[in-house]
Amino acid sequence: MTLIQVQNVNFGYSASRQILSDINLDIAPGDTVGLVGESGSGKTTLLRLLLGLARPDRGTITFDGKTLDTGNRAFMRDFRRQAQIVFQDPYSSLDPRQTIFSIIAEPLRSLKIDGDHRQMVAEALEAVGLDRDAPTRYPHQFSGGQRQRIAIARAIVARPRFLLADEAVSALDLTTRTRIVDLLARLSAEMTLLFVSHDIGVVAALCRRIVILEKGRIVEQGETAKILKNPQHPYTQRLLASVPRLTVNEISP
Amino acid sequence: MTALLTLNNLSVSTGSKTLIHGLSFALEKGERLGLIGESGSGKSLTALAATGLLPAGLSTSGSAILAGTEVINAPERELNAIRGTAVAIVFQEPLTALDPLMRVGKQVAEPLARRARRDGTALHGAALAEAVLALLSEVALPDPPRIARAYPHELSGGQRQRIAIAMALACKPDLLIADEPTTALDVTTQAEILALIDRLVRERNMALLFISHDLPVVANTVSRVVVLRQGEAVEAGSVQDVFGNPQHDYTRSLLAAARSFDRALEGTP
Repeated sequence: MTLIQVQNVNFGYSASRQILSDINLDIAPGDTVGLVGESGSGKTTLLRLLLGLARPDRGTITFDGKTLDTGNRAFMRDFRRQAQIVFQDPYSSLDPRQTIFSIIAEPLRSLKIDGDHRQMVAEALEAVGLDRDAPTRYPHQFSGGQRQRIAIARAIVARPRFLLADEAVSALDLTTRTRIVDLLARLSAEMTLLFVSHDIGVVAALCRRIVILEKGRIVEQGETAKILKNPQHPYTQRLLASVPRLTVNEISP
Repeated sequence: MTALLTLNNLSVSTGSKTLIHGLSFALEKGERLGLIGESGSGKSLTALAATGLLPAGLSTSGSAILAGTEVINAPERELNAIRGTAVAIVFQEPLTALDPLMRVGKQVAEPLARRARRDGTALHGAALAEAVLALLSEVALPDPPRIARAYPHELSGGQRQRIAIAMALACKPDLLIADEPTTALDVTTQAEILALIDRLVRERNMALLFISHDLPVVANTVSRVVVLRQGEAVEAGSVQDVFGNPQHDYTRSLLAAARSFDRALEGTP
């Protein structure tokens, strides 16, 4: 049983330069998967393919057993309701001229979802731990961490099954980062989460499975605990060895 | 022995808001000090204040003595004599620190020639070109002749940061200030750049003021730290003491956050 299935996918923005090669990936419903790669590894491109913002040159992507067909408008409307994304920078992903209510209700309007939008927005705000008086305020009145909570509220307001997060905590301070990771961990109990990051430490804290991407190829994937304990690919080993640890100087907790 | 850099009760404010509040610390020759804190804590502002680079409109009080010269409210002429001799800075984003229209060899040559002039010798022509190549190989750039001819956009982020470090080294500073020098880099590149800074600081016996929000990076780079929160030093001491036995709640919360990711990597949540 898989929610997302990527089979033999190749992709390049131009014919001369291939960005993704031979990508195979299964994401089970309810799973929490971390996609780890450095700049230029193709992680954001893979995310674009998974969102239906670009089409693979070769291979197929299916969502819930149906091919992700960007030309099929009925399918895409349903898909957009079920798959939502949180971006890296909460300063540029929120419209400064709109109230928080208007920002969070945007997916409800554009996806033409019926129901009490005020109630749905209030529930989303509560889920991300923001005050009930937030809807009448504007983005500039919130800190970076709170803005990221607003972006998450917008992503979950339509109750998607699949949540994608592209470097969603990379721009945040360390203590804020742990709080947002905790929030995503809590939300992941109710939905499938694909968390894209260059930071393997954050991924290790949040995700049950890890997929390691290097230069457009998946070099290793599997359960987080297994990969951390016994990384097989030289690149994974180098990545893990490069992460600075507090414990190196023999400082015990 | 007098310290290389001494901040004494340094405050910086915008009129209504105090950004740095009575900060004091001293940095001896050859010592490595880390300034840690989250965004808005005043880390970068401290570095700018210490080198007289604060934007106009900020008012300062207290004192910052760099290589025997009072920096606060000193005239530009006096400051220019210390900048690039006593101190050099490596910033976070190498792309904005480099001139996009100039070959990087020429950018490295500028501080080299200036430092030579200040030392009373002349460096130009073939000798200068040779000194540039030597410096590029010192920062472990591959194929220095090719890199010297390249423009910044033709280099990777890590290579650009090596160029920025080479330019700082060209000044032969007694104090190197590194302001989040690896934050914009990939983790594998970060490891290489940190190793490079570590080697160069030791070899040249430079003092290092290392600014970062990343506690594990700081722990592996410096011997002493000052923890800043909203412009105030809440705690200072050796890395072992501060990280091993933090006294302030804020330091504890930073360490707890860093440890949670550390532990996740060890597979012991």
